[in-house]
Amino acid sequence: MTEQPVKTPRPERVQLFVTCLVDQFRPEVGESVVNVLERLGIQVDFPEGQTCCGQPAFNSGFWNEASDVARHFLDVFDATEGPIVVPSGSCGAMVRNFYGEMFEDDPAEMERVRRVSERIYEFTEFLVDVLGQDDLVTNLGPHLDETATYHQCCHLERELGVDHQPQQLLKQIEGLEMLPMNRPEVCCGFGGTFAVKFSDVSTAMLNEKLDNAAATGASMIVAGDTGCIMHMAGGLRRRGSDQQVRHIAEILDEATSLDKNNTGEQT
Amino acid sequence: MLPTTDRFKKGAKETLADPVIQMSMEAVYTGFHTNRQSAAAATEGWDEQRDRGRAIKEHTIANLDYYLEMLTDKIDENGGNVFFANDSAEATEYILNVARARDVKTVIKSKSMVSEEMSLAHEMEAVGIEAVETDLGEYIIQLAGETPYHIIAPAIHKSQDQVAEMFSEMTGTDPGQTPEELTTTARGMLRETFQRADMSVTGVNFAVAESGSIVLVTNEGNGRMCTSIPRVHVAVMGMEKIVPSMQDLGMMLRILIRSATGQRISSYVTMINGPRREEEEDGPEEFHLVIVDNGRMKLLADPKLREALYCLRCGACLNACPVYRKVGGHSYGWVYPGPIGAVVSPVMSGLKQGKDLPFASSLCGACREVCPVKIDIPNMLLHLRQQVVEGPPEDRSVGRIERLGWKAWRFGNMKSSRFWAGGKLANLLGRPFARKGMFRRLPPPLSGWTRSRDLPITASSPFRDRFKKRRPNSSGGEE
Amino acid sequence: MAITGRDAFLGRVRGALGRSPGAPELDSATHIGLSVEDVRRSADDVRREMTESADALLDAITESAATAGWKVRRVASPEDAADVVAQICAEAGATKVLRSDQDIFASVPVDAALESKGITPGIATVGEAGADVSILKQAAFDSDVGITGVDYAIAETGTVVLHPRKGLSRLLSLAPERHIAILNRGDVLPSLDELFTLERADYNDGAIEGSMNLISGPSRTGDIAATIVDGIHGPLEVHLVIVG
Repeated sequence: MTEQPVKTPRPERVQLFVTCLVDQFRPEVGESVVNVLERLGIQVDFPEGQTCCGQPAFNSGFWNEASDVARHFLDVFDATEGPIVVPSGSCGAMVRNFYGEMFEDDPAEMERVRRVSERIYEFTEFLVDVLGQDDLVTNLGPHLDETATYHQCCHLERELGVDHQPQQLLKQIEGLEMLPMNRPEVCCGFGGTFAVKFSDVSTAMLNEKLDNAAATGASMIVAGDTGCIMHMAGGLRRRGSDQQVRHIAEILDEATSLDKNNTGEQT
Repeated sequence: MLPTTDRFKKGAKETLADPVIQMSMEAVYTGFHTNRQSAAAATEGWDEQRDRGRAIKEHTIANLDYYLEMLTDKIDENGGNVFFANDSAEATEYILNVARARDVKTVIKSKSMVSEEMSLAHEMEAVGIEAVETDLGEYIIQLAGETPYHIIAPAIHKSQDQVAEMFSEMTGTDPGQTPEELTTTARGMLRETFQRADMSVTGVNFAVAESGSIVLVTNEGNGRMCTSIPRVHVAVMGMEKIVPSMQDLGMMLRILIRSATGQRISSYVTMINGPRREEEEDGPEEFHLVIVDNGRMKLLADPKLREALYCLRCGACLNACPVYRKVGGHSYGWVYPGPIGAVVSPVMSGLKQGKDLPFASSLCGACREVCPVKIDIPNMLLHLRQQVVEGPPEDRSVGRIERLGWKAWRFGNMKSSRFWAGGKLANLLGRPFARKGMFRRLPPPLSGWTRSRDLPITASSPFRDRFKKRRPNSSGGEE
Repeated sequence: MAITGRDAFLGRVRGALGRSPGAPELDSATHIGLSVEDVRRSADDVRREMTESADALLDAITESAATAGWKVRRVASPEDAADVVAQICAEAGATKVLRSDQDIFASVPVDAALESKGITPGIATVGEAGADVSILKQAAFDSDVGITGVDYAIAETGTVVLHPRKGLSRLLSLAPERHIAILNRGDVLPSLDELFTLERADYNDGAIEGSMNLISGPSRTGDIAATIVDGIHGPLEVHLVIVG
């Protein structure tokens, strides 16, 4: 597990590593990340050359293919400076924790890995540990009248150690009632290609998770990883359930989108 | 035990469809795992003790030859015998020879997973020796003709009713007995066997190199019966179960037992420093330690897999694993199920046959979180996955279509223009088949997904297009 | 005694590790590097603590033994202890009672207390050399109660430590339905770590016994429907009588 040291001074500009799943399947999550950061006075750049961090191939044992794509990732982001923000625990972990596995015999590549890894923050980790969550609260006064239940995405918690930041942020949203689910820390069953290769098992785990979420009566499940979100949302659709699954970035965006930020910008 | 590791998917499907097992397996989380969490929270310096326990195992395994030599010299000095077995067949032969030479008719067995590798009870019965499993869980599965379902609770998949029915068939007792009544019945059935046993076979939880001692951790008392009554005591151990010093035991016992069941300590911990001394009142006259390889050398030889040998066999990883809880112990197809089993079972019994096991995980990391010695199981699973794909020919086992698929994936992700185009193409081609942006049914391999979930279509306006619109002059960066 | 197959086996271990034979550099995590002197000094510290903190440790074991499932009675005097032992036996309807031949019974008059309840205790030893150990075995299995002293108790875990030896049979605290252990003030250790310090010191002095049993409650199992049941192959009930 890797945790990031807090860096000072407060950055003015960040690079967005949006992730392939967000880019292609839930672009609104990426927009929400940008909205929230801009409201906090941070400029967001999007290095256009980015594609994928390589995790799907890496997890499937195809390390040759994964490392080629990883090198491309490093090409793109090593050419930039400043913090890199990613709205995903598993993609952040891929770079911070697993690039080292692939390149451990290549000292030059390891240098790049180290340089880029040091700069990567998961989105909520960045808001709380780097900017300080009070910033968001006092400057943006988040408000959202909803009920929600939080699912602890596995890589976010266990690989990056981001185990309190999302919950802290959600607690700050006035009007948002968080209803804890049973077994919030148990895997939803996504696991990347596991969801397809072992779909029976994945589905059984999904059903347990969705049953636990449904039992809270919350109108939505909030989570931090898009793969898990797609898996849970796909299951809810199949059940004919009204319960939504939203990324925490979307919640923060919605909660801070009323016209009360300092810059007066409407987004 | 003959491996059936290639049956994982089939076994999983059957187990998922079995409501009795699904209900029984809940106890793994609500009982063992929950109790382990409480015990960990209540133990001062828990995390530091795990770090230290890991450091001890790391040092010991890295110098395993040195400590094995020390251990066996000491056992020899104490008047015991040591046999080094390269595989389970050699171990079995040695034990059968000891039994034959000592004219043994009845053997009592206490829990030993290594003896399961050997199918020892079965082998003994085949040559006419009565071999009785005395651990209640093992006794139950021996009656059922099954193999263990869990490392420390072998019959966890059986419901109360199933056990009562089994006992009823054997003894004519009421098929509606409670666990208390069933336990009393078992006590009665085994008590007589204990008294007439000629030889015992036990496992080993820890072997102490500096003194040649072995340590057994038990709750039922059958382990103590095994090391008190018969003339001959044979202990079987995996070659890795060593700690250097007696003074290491306090902490090792603490992290083992609290991780396994959440107990502060088991009912019994027994340390044996050799066969009985002449002036003692009772105890075995003869002691044998059988040290077994049976595939462990493969784990030892690979620096990425070596930490699998730190395992204390506590079962905590099983108890935390949401996959194991659903698919049950038999799906893994060999002696060791669950997360640790997904590593050691294929490596020890054949990676080609067991190629599904390293993939049968969502890599959630719950196992690593509860391991008393912080074994990084997800890392080893990833390493094994790479072996299956890119390893030596004897391990490699991946279909050509999948290989081509990942080559195509690589192609599409090396340039952002391809990445973008791929998404647009998928959107274009898929749109006629999607309803409200979702697919309900897709061809293989994605049929695995759509069997139980809807899958969204790629966005017609992906994020990068939307970002461009908001910031027409934004910095581009490399292609 | 015989060691078979070692050289080839160790050769393969070394091959797998890429290691040459010889003593390794020690890791500070393990205790093996401690000198005989270090261990002796630690053991002296432990024994001192057992005496100096005797009252606190006695309080601690009273609580932890109960948590572990011992039925605990604390009394002021050895005579009271004997009475409690006899009372437990009588209440259990015990007719066959066995005790060990340990020093504790010189100060705690268990025999007399039992006689006064009409119970004559046997002593669980094989007697003179050559006596039939199966008689002892039979007696242990037939007895209702087995009574022993306590070598050490461990406060951390609610544990009674016994070293089977001359006068103290392994089966005595295992086969009868009930086991009563009598603990003296001053014999309590804080935790497992202190126990193994003392054991190691004894080992270094060549004074370690043949085996050691840590007993922390009645026998139990969770193997049927994950329901914990007390009382299976070992004693169903264990009593700790604390003097002090």
